[in-house]
Amino acid sequence: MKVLLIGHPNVGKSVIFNRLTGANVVSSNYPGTTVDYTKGYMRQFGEDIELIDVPGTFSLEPKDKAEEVAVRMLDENADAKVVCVIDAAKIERGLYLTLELIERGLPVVLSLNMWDVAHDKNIVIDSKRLQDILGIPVVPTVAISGEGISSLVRNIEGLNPSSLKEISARIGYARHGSEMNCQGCSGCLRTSLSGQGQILDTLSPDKKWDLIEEITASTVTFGTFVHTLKDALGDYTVKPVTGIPFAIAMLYAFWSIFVSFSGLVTDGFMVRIFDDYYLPWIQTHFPGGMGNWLYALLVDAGHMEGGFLVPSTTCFESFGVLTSGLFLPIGIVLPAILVFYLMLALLEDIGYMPRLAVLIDTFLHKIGLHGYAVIPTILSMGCNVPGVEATRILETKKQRFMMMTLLALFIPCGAQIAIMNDFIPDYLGFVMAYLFAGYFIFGFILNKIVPGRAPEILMDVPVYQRPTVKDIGKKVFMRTKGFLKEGIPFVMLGVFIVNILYLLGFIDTMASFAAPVFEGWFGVPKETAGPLIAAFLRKDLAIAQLSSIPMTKYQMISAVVLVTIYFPCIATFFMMIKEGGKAFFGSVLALISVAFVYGGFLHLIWILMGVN
Amino acid sequence: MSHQYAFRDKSLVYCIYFSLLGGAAFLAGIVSIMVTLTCNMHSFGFIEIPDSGFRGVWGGLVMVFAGIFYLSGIRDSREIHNFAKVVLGSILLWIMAGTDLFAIFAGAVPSTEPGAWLNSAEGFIKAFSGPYTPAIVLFPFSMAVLYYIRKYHKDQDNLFA
Amino acid sequence: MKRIRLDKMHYNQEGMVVSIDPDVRGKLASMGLRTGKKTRMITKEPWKGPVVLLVDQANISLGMGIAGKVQVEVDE
Repeated sequence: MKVLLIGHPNVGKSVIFNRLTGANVVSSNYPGTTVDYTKGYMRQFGEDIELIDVPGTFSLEPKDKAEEVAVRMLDENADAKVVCVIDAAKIERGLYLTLELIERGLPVVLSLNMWDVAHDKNIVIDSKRLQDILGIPVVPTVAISGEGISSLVRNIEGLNPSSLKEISARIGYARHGSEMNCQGCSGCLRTSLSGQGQILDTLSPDKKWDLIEEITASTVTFGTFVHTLKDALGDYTVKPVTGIPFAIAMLYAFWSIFVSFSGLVTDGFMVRIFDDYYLPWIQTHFPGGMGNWLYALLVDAGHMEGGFLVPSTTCFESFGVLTSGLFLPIGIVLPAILVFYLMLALLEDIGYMPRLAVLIDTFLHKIGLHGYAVIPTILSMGCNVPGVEATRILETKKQRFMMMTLLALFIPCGAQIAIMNDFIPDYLGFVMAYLFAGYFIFGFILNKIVPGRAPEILMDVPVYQRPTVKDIGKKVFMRTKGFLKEGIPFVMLGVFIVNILYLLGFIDTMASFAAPVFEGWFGVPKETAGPLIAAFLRKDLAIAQLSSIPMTKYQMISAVVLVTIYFPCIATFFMMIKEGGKAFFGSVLALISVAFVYGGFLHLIWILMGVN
Repeated sequence: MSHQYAFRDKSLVYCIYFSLLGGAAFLAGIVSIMVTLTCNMHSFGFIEIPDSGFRGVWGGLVMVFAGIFYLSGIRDSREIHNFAKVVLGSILLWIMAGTDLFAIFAGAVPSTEPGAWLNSAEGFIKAFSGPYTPAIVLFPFSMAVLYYIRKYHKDQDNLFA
Repeated sequence: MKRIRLDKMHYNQEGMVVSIDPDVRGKLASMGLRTGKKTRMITKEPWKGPVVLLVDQANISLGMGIAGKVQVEVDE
């Protein structure tokens, strides 16, 4: 049996999904689109039932990609049972979707979720009566506490489709108290529905709304309007005067927790484990030894000290595939990403992200992006790879292209930020400010030159809700798993390639070629050329290497900015190819030109300031 | 549509308490910002103003906001929107105190001695004593808002019983 | 009573929707905003940013352009 879970966004659909499925949940991409959906299995009625969490949709006349996919999924699974989840407090628009589903002849069971919130708001729904009128099971539920869920599931078995015809008739009965005796009185719904005394099986949108009004008139009582504390909080966090300070506080929390956590795990434990235990172990046990090329490649390249090749003392400088290649993603990046995903998931599940998107939309719209672009931007600050992947939530090709390019260029990843915080904490603020400025300036320019539309924001702002540990856990787990599967091999590959290039002297040759450019145009010492070129493979490594080269504060800032902007890291590079397709080459072109211009501009600023 | 009242009666205690708290948060924030900008570290007994650039200025700004939220919410204190502002002020304080405490925690867990993994129990506890940031100091006082949230729910139930 | 564009409403002002441009009618309807509905302006974001409305217990956010396609009737 197949069951489709369909409903508006932010009504608790995923909560229900998570309650019913175990850990064997798979997130898939709908082929040919950038929309994802999740699928799992639940054990009911003695069999394993496939449960599909369809992307949230407001109606089956789709207005965006996600909704189109929802409709297609319904078409493709015509034999599935449907669980329609709506917000009981917003029952009218919920019923619209319900009627659309019934109209298609699908067997539906209706979940009136957030029943507790409706109660708090003095909205009384006679679910039994609603069930009688609609001809489908109607179950009040409170997904976060689990109330009503088992009843909901029980009703899935033996589900029969209803029809609009029957519903209209029943409403007609309600009006006339008996069989359809009316031959056409003006007050009768039957007449007004079809205009000919005939009851129809499909209705125009307007007629559907008329029907809904009749249904709610007899099943729902709205008491005095209650503006709860949660409502007031919700309003204040989206109004600019109060919302922006709140956003500033949120961002502070984000940053502070990130720094504390990654400091704790990375500096407190990972560095110890890797440098004091793992490194010496592998240095002694790996065959070969200092000077052996395979050893240098995989374990430790060592460095020259007083004419002798000396082994490294940290996994950082050893640059071996099995040392740096493992230490970097596991020791530095993984803790950063973990805490990032955790906080992001928390903000999402509480319902804050739409408000943030609304607040920021003003600015982002000026550069042709959508308020929701704030999500890939924040994700990118954890790691560019999922950030680029997240650009798929943007509607148009133009927006996706712009977003990807801007992310790869101007948003440093968590690893970079962590390393910057470690090695050059005093300059971190300025670097970030310069990068963000670049994001907006070049976003503005890109918006003007790239052809395409930028659709306006139109979205629901949900009420604040309590997040559940299970949901957040699942989200974080899935996202982290993705990073580990793709990130680690990439980094190891990266270190491998860089090492080969160093061994072949390729890097040094490139560095000599590039040195005049670096010195003259960007104003940084030529020793930075090597790390900067290697930065393609691992930017955080490059920053660490840069920090040990003697240069002025301003040169350092330039060098670090360059690391971020001149090219995405190898993992992001591959992700962009995957997500961007042909547009990707346009991105690369943009990247290179921007790097030149912006990097050079920074040098110009220093010159004008009279420092160097 | 809504001039909802959060509480049945006005309370003078509420007004005085939260204006004091608001004023304290506001002042703490301003001092924090000024201290950071002049690059001095100050310890007033059990209060310590951090001198790290970000924490001082950004964090100080958040404290200032918290203070403003409190102070702007005590007028016509029964109204739900003003109560919401007081709650928001408390939330900001909790954010500040929480992140400060977590920062102390993160610093206190690993040991500074080579060879040992975790800090000793005394070392850990010791990190939590000593001078505190203003947010942590004000944190216990801000918890009073929880009492009022409970009162709000009770009054709401009675209003619509 | 006068008729104004939705984006010209003031903070907290209430109004009743009287007309919506056909090209956004369906989208807005599915989110709860239809002619005959009472709505209240929750906030407008600065610099021609989106507006946030309260309709039937739901908060929805509309870009300025879309909001401009809706006419409401408000008290003077």
